[in-house]
Parts: sequence; C-alpha cells; structure tokens
Amino acid sequence: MTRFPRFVRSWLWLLVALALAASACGGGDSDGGETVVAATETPSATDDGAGQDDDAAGGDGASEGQGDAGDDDASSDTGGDDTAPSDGESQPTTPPDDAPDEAIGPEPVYGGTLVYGLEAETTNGLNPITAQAGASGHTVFRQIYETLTIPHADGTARPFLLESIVPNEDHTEWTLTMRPGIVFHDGLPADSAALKRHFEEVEAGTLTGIAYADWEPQDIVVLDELSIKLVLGRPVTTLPNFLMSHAGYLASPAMYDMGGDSARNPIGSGPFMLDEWIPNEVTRLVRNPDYWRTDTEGRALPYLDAIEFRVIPDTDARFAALRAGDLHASMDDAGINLGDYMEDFKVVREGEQFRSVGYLMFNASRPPFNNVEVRRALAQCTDVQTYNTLMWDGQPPATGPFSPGTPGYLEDSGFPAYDPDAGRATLEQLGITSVQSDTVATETFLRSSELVAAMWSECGIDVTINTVDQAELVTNAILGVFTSTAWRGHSGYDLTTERTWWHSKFGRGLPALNFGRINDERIDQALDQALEATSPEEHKRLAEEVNRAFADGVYNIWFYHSNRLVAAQDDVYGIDTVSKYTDGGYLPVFGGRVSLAETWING
Amino acid sequence: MTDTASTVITVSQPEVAPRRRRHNVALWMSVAWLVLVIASAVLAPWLGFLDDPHKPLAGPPEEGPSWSNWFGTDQLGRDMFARSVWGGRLSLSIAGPAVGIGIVVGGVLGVLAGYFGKWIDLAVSSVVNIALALPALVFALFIVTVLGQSYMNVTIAVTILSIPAIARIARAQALRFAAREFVTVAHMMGARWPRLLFREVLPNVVPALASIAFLAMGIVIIAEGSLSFIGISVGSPSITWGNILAAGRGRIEQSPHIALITGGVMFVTLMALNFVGDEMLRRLDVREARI
Repeated sequence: MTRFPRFVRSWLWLLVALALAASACGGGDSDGGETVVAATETPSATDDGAGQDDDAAGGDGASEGQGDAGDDDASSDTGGDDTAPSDGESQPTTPPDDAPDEAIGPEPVYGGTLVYGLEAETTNGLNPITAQAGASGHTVFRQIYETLTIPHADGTARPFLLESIVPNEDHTEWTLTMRPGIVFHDGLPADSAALKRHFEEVEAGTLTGIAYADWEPQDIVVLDELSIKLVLGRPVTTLPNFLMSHAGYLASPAMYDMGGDSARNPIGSGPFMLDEWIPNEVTRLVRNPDYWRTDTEGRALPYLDAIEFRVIPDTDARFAALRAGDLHASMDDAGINLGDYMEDFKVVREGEQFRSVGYLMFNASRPPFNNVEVRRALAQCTDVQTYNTLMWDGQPPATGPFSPGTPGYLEDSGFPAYDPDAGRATLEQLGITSVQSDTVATETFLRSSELVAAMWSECGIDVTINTVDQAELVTNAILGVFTSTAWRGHSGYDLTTERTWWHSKFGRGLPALNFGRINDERIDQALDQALEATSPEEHKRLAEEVNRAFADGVYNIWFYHSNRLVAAQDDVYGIDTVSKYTDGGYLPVFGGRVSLAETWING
Repeated sequence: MTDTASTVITVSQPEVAPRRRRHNVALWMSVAWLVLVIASAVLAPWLGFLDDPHKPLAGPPEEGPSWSNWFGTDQLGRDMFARSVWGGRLSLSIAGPAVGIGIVVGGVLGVLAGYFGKWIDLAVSSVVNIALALPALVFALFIVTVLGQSYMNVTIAVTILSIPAIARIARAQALRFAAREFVTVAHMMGARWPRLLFREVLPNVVPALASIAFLAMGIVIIAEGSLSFIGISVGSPSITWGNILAAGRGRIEQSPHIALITGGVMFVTLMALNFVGDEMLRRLDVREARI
C-alpha cells in the first residue's frame, strides 16, 4: 500500500482537524435562524463603511437621573423595624439541612469574599463628588457610602440614610433629618454637621456643582444634631430624587478634608470599607463592623467579609469569566446573551419600568450633526429593528428616551422611521459622504459600531470609527470632543433629574453635562416647568412633550431599552436586597447599581 | 578507496531521496497555499462569489460552516469566508511592505556593517542591539498609541521592528562572505570595494535575505495579529486576521468557528511561509550548494 510522505500526512491531519473543528460548529447558534428569515432583506452594508455606536460606556455618570416628579412628599419614614445599629454580636449561622427555598434562600451565612465583575472603572477616583461614575462606579459607591434617599418602585424616592426629608409649602425649603446612630468608617457621626459639609462639597464639585447651582441654593441651616434645612432660591419639587445618586452619597467630613487624596481614601457609612484599590484591576472592600443596618431578623449586616470588584470591560469576557467560575456575580446590560444569563445563572433584573435607553448620541453643536436634516437622514438610514435583533434582545425600537410604563413614554413619538431611500436622497442633496463616530474599544461596542457603519454605508456614508477607552469617552462627552457616540441612560424615573442632560443651559461652556449640546426651546420649557410642577399628570404631559421634541429634533437615534441585571452563581444569595427602610417597594438594579449588604455565599 | 566511497553513496542515497521528495511535496503544497492566499487577497474586490465582508445577515448569525457560508458567519451574520479573505488582504498588505522595507533598509545596513566593519559595524551593531533589546510588542504598542491606529502607523510599527533583526542577519551573511576566498582573490586582483561589494558579496547575501523575507513575513503577521488582539491595530471596521480572532475569542464556547477557522487559515499560512523560507535557505545556501 502506498504511504504518503510523513510531511504530507501531517498536512492532511491538519486539514482533517480543521474540517472537524469546522463541522463541529455547524450547528451554530440556534436563535440565529429565525432572525435571518425575517431580516435578510433589511440592512446591508457595502465595503469599508465604518460605523459606530453602542453601548454607552457606563460612563455616563451623568445620566443617572431619576426621581419621579410628583410625589415629593417623601417625608415619611420608611417602614421596617427600627434602625438600631447593630453591635455586631450576631453569631454566624449555618445553612439548614433541608432544601433551600429558591425564592428566599437558605439562612444567611457570614463570611466569605464575593468576587464581582464590573463593566468599567470609575474615572477620577472614589470620591462621588469628583468621580465620573457609571453603573459600575455607583455599585462600588453603594457599598462604601450609601445614599440619602433610595428609589421606590412607585417612582418616588424614600429616605434611607435620612430619616425624613420634608419640604415647605412651596418647595423652596427642605428639612433633612439623619437617622440616629449612623457613624462613618472613621468613627465620626453621620449628623447634621456632616450633612451640611456634604452639601457644601456638592456645591463646590465641578460636575455636581452644576446641578446643585440649578436649585439656586441660598443657605444651609443646621437645625439640631441631626437636621438641616436647605434653603433654595426656586421651588424644587423633586429634590429627594436627586439624592439617590452622586449628590446623595454621604461621606465623612474627614474625607473631604483630604482634598485631592479623598479620591483614594473614601470614607462613608456603608456596609463595606475600602481595603485596596488598583485602578482597572481590583477594588477590594472589607466588612464595616459598625454598619448601622440589620436584616429583618435583627442580625448585623453585612454578611460578607469582603468584596472584590474586578473590572472586565468586555461583555463577552465578563460573561465568560462568570461561566468559568472566576466570578461569583457580575453586572451586565444584557442584550444578545440575555437568554444565556437567564438559563445559566441566578439573575436579578431591573424592573419593567424605569429602564434606561441605549442610543446613538449626536453632538448637535458640531458639523455635520448640527444640521437636523443630517441627523434625520441618518436616523432614516438606521434599521433599528435589525440592530436590536443582532445586538440586543430583538425588542422593538425605542421611540424615545422613556421606556414603556414611564410617564413620558409614547408608542409613537414621531421619531423618523427606517427609510434608507429618503435618507440617502437627503444626504446626497446635502453632500454628506463621511462622518466620524466614537466608541469604546471593546468587541461588543466595536461590533455595534460596525453594524451601524454598514447600515449607513448603504446610504453612501463612510464612517470612521474612533476607539477610546470608557473613561476617555466620558471625558470627551463632557468636553464636547466628539461628533457622535454610543450612550445609555435616562431611566425616565423623573423628568427633572434629566434636565442637566438635556437643558440647553447645561450645554454651554465647559464642562457641560448636556453632552449632546441639545439646544431646544420646547425641551427647555418643559424641563423648567417640571421643576415646579407638583401633579403627576403635569409631569406626564411635560415628559411626553420632551419625547416629541426629541423626535422632531432627532438629537439621538434611539435603539433599545436596557436589560440591567446581576447574574450570580447558584450559591450566592441576597443580591440587591434591601429588606428594610424601603416600604417594601425597593427598586432593584435601578440603573445597574446594587446593594450587597444583604448578600451572602452559601458554603 | 573506491569501494568505500561507493558504499557511502549506496547507504546514504535511500535516505536522502525520499526525504527530498517529501520536502518537494511539502514545498509545493506550501507554495500552492501561499499562491492561493495571496491571489485571493489581491483579487478579493473582483471575486464575484465573495460576499461583502461588512454586510450583516449574509447568513444566520453565528452559524457554523455551510454551503452558503463556507466558513460560517459571525455575530452579525457576516460571511466569515469573505472576512477571512479580506482579513488576509490587509494582514498581508501590512506584512508585505513591512518586510520589503525591512529587507532593503536592514539589508543595506547589515551588509555595510558586515563588509566594512570598524566604526560602521560598531555603530550599526550598537543600534541593532539596542533595538533588539526593546520588548517588541511594547515598542509597537507605544508607536501605535502615539501615532494613532491606522494602516500606515501599524505598518510603520512593524517595519521598525523588522529592520534590526534583518540587519543582524544581513551583517552576519556579509561578514561570512567578505572573508571568503573568492572575495580575497578578487581583492588581490585589484577589484575595488564597490565591485567587491556589489558583484561578489551582495549577490551571495541576497538569496539568504530572500529566504529570511518569508520567515519575517510570518513574524510580522503574528505581530500584527498580536496588536489586533489587544485592540491597537488598524481601526474598525477594517478587517485583519488578528481582529477576527479578537472578535471570536469571547464567543469561543458558543461559536468556535469564528476564531478557529480564521486561526487555522493564519496558522497554515504561517507554516507555509516558514517552510518555504526554510527550504529557500537550505537550497540557496552557497556553502551547501557549492562545497
């Protein structure tokens, strides 16, 4: 029998191996099949297009707006048992022998280190006043500081570190009272002096000061050991909503005394304290033995000894790390892999309401996007349904910044429909042949950008994709150094908290929080009126007006509503549980941020 | 004596002949593969059966190989065969100029250093040694980061990396041939340095450099792939083998074909380049050929 020479045989083996590997992949991914049938004729690209977009970089520390208008009377104490700080005498418990209840889980177990995957590092350190934090940053802050108020599922903010927050009749004065017995990690009391100092720092902050100044603050009066009165120059009906985010993270005065060093030495009153921070790698927090909160059984919190936050920017890599067991839990805004998460892990998802929106943000102050006709034409060239099918969960295109169920949602906002012929004709008429877009340099974002580029190339547009890291993207947005970029935010929880992102007064000068440099009289008027409106109906009407103005001005191309979630291994319990002080209506995974005070690892 | 000599021949012949045949077959397979890859890369824009590599939904997303999509599709349903061909086009178009310039510049520097010696050798060798001591990937990363991600800048980065290595090889070859008898004889017969350099030394160095070029091509393709893998090669939406691999790594469990097939194409190409380079080096080596 003829034998092939050894070298030829080795080549043949190689080819056979490759063929086997290829055939093994033949099954492909099942859900793709249907997709194609439906969408084959839709988008197509030509060659070197270029595109951009997607996923906003958690960056937008900004868009953490929230708070629903209306119900401003947030003075009532939250329920739950008392707030007596734990003295730490609670003894660790062991899990029961019987099978755990899936919904409730076994008895909490003390100890252990939770390894948690984050999508981004926080820019400018761990002082919330100076940091540019997205969902990742807020997740870390929630463990170190906690907020003065906390979101409720009914669209109102409830006191959390505060015991009460009460306005005067015209909402120009707010009395804030701290819960008794809360101490910072350095042993200082979280009292009225700390609260006053906090608002002074908020006012002095580069970015927080912009929003704070909008309230026209007149004075901060210390009323007693635990209470202050904020005196404002204008009515602000929804102030509690602003205190769920950057302006609500209460830090120790000693931390503020450190000045620039405060970014590396955070001191809050949260369940965990900073142990080690290696930017872009790991943030290690350890248990705060003097934490004020207890669980429903009166046991001291937190259960965990430590948390290690690991930054893994790429969605696929983060998912792979979770699947490989390198992470106990991980955050994500899940699109295409939502099903995988739901199938393979325990998942805590944000509610149906108040989801943020993913979109392509134009810089309306820069050519060619300072021309509404260009923006409209590009919107007509973007097949959002196909985009959502390939990049997200296949949901229908978002019609505006508000998700279904929020006060401003409109089924038909008037946003331009997919019409590439019309778009192409407009772009040809205007002589636009190329645009630039910024995106985060991860595979998911790049793929998203390439998809949009391919769609736009069908309209004769070449897209240059400029890749930057997430922190740089946020900085570029603040400085206006971009033409178009992917973004995400705007929960629709409260129109007034969105004003810093959309009102023209916040788009002038530097730094600017109105990243898209939107300058629209209708939006401005609605936002101004919302700040003083007290009825939910009026807030709804104004939010809908903003939605329509966005559609007419095409300041953004709306893609999808978020699927914020935290996925965890089977032995992890109590992710984003806040069992007390929330009137039983705590809104989990709001904006992607979670509380881990009541989280434990079983075993 | 005669018997002994013939014995040596009869013993060695059966081993040498099949080995040479094997080499011939492998050589021609390698050459054929390279011709196929290079031709498809060059002719990609005119190959009618090739899908647009950027076109979404050329097939079901993340589908394995099929008759309609030979290499399967990626997450956006783009045809992986088309992307592999276009990826090869860009990878080779970076490697080609990089190695070409590297051969010319590095070759000239190396030959001058090897032939003239003294201060020229000292200067060239010092620069080459310093350059070779720099971590290649970090150096390339630095260049691309400073200059920006573009085809030109990535080519510049890998070109700069290729020059010192080629210069060192050229110098060694020039040193070797400058000391050979035929050069000495030519010199004794009154030949001047330009003639010695261009007529005697250089023609003997060039074949070695040509074979090194194949090996260097492989190294440059890997270097570009490494830059792509860490996200600092030619920017999106340009396609290189490296960024296809990078795009596929996160889906290696769900859709292994994205990374594995393109990785396989890259691997076979590098193997072919190495083999052709080795064969050329062996066959064109003057010492083996003439002595």
